[in-house]
Amino acid sequence: MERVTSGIVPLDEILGGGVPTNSLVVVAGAPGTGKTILAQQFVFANATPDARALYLTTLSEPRAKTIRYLQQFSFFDQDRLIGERPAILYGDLAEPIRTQGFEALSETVGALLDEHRPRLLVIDSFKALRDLVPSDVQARRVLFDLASRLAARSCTTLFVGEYVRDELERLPEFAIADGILHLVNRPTGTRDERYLRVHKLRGSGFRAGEHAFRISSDGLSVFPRLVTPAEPTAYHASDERVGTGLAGLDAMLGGGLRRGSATLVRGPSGSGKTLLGLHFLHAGAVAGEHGLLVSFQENPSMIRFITSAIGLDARELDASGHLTSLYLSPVELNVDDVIQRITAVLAAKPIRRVVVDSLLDLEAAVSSDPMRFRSYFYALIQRFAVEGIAAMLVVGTEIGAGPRDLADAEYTADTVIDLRYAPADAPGRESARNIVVLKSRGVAHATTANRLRVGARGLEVGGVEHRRP
Amino acid sequence: MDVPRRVLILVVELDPYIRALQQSLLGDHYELLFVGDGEAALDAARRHRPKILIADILVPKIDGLRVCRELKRDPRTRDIRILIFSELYAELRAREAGADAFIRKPIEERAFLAQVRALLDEEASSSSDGDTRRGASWSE
Repeated sequence: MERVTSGIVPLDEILGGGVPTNSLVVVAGAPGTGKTILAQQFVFANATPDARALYLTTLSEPRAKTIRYLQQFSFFDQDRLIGERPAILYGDLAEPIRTQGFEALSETVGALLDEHRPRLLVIDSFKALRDLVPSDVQARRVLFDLASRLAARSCTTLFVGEYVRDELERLPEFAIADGILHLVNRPTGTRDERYLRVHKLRGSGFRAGEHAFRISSDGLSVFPRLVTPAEPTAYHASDERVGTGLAGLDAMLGGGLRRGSATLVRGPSGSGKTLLGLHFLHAGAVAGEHGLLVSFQENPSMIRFITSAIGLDARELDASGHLTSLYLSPVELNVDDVIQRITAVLAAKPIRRVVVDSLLDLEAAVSSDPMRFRSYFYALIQRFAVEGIAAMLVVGTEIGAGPRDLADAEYTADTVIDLRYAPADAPGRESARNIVVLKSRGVAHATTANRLRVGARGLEVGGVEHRRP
Repeated sequence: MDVPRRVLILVVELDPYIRALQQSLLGDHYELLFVGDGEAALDAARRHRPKILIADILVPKIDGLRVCRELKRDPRTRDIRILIFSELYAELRAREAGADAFIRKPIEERAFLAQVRALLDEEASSSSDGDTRRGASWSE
């Protein structure tokens, strides 16, 4: 089946390659959700002088205003609108419909199709037009006529409209539509989360569920939902061990972490979780393995400072090119964005070790939907396992309190390492840190706690100095 | 400024609201002739020889910039002062097409009127001293 690209590669992936050529697709969503921008991206991605796009504004936003705001986007190209053979034509249906009524819609559009012979037609807003008719019966008749007219031609059509959720099941335009894209803006705390959902795509598979997106001067950036495989992907569980960078911990683990396994490191603030992650990545870099640090907690400057402060050679780490850092602010965190960035790094580099600091930041970003966090976590762990990546996932727990309930994550992880912190209880006494391996799947690990010390050269476990390169 | 009512301004514009605004701003002083596409604009310009053409760019059949180029190329119509009036950031393109002035939509009434008057003044003085193009005004 031939496809019409949306101009947004990840959205095309969701749509199975784009919307089917010559289909009629409704782009629905409340005002301000990005419908017009998406429709314009379709237009600019497809229109050529030989396969023109006709964009018809209606009673929602005047043509002049549409074009005025459109010019701020990087995909806008004035050259496509003018010249002897313009690729994109803008028209306005407001006047003919205002004077002749909704009944004239099909004929008016038909005349424009005859005149311009576009391969892509957008009516924005279609909802504003159909609101002129009091009855769905009347609307259905005009719609059927228009849809038949369009079906007779080689023309892909987008109806853009300010439809609310329940209208998607009720109004006739959704019955005649071959595809429905629904854009949602959901306020979450102090910020808004934008989602896109494909409700229908006749004759084509698509990736179901909510896919996050963002609007910038480049238009919509879409982050396809991470799909959790129904059945875990088959892979060879490696017996190979990966050193953590701490000889004492490796000894507790009977030789280190298994290649391709996921380790949850949990503990209160100041217990050494981030340091443990850095030791882990440093040990990998020294062994020539590429590592990825996904940090929501410490920016790159702070990471360099910490690395140097514990005697690890930050410059050596930087210069080796073996460490990739993804620092993402936890304030505006979008979990789909994070996943896409991690995936992009995994595709570009032979990453063997990953540290995510911390998992709680990711969980907070999808706090409105706990199921989503579980499926993301599971899918990520699967991905790491299949690619033979040893992952260390940091989880903070509050001092004095029990670990935050991340039971699913603990169950899914292969290894759980608990860092405990006992603050000094009298003047002159030292705070104490302990480390214990709570579980390590398929590994005969130590069950007793060991002392964890922070020295000038980083962490030491059980009095055994950490391994130096 | 007293301008005889017979001064003709040709307007190529699709938007009925902009047409109405132009009519209310200019209609008391000038004769306005509205057309809806580039072909009709070329035809009316050749036939009626207006003093000014106010042209939107995104009009059917022939865009406003091409209309401008055609008229400026033709010795019979090159004296027509052309004001390109568009929502596009197209000042440079308008200049390259030979337009005498450019104003970006939406209408800022005072600037729009001043621009039309300036073009008419230029037209009057160039007619008397034979200069076909003088310093035009440009605004985004």
